[in-house]
Amino acid sequence: MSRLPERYQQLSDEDLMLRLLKKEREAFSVLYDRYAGEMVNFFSRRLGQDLAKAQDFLHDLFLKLLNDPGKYTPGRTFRPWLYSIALNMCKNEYRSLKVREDYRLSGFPEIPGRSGGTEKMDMRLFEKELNAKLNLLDEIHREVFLLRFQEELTITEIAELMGCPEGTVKSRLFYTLKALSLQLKMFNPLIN
Amino acid sequence: MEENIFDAIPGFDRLLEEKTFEALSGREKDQVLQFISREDYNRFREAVLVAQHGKHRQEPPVTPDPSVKNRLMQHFSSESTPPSGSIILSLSRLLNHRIPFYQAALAASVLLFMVIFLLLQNHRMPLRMAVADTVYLDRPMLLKDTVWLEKSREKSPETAKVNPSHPETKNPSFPQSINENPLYTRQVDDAMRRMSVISELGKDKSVYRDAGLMKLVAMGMAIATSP
Repeated sequence: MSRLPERYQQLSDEDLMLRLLKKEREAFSVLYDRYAGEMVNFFSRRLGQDLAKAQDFLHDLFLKLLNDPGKYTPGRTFRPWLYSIALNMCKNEYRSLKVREDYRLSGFPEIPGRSGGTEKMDMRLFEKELNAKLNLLDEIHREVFLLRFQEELTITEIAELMGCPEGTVKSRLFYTLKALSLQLKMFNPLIN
Repeated sequence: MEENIFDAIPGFDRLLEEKTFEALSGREKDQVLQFISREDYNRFREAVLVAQHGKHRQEPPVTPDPSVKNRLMQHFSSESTPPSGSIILSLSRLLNHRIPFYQAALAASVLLFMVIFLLLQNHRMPLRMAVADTVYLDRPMLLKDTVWLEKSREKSPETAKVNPSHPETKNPSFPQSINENPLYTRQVDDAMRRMSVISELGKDKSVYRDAGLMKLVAMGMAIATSP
């Protein structure tokens, strides 16, 4: 019996999800351990660093898995599917708040090897401007950019999450980067 | 349609994350410059790095509250139990359950009766199948034909009726019937006598007819009784 969790640890996310469909407790436990940290940080970023709300959203996310695991289609990649649920939860939260907060403006990014007061100030301005420009983009392009470079999903996973071909994801990424590049020319503290 | 740099350079997103323009190989630089300038590449990269470091700036990163998992696992336990465990538990409970002997015997009897009844029912009930076949029915028919019946001929003496209007019948010795076998000899005699009487009487036609009849009867009786 003590080897059971180890055996579950070796299973893929998709296999664990199939076992969760059969109401196997250990499968759920291992899935939670794999993704709880990632998802609570995702919620924290998306919900304006509200840690309590992030914990609640984490609970609700996995409660959805428990209550209705049948929504998972066998054969589908688990990670993008989980992110799609989490994204929808965030969107619903935005709608309920009516005002979408600029949740990435707080704090200060420290890029390794780039310290110094002037550069920090430039980086603060640059990040603010980046977020402002991102917020001007439509939701699909913004989400593609954030999912790829902030949540670090692969292009394949994003395509699966959004239900579109990989080529479409690549086009959206390129469009977003070009739009940001054009608008951020004057806020370019690191290049020069 | 504008060609996409992500399609032309596989893994371009990873290049942006990992390498400055200067760190790219010569071949990679050539490929990149076909689509964007060096400055564009670096601006792309800055946007990517700022987005990524926005993720990593949470120090320390948020850790899941242990109570969340506890609540979820409790919910899991309350909502579902392992199917194999529940079957074993139910089976063991069933086997360990004690009931009086008469109840078990009664239940077994009822069960046996039901099994026998069902078997008999199945045996009796013919299998109903829709089969098309020629069926010959026996139907009554009216046939007309000539039938020859063999009838036994009963040998019985002929009966001669007496003419009551004849005067001879007034004679007490005149027999009223001649069909009684023991008397047939006498009857023949009487008949012969009467014939002689009749011949003496004259020419009364009715008497002649009667006499002729009597003669015939007498002859028939003589023939019938002859060995």
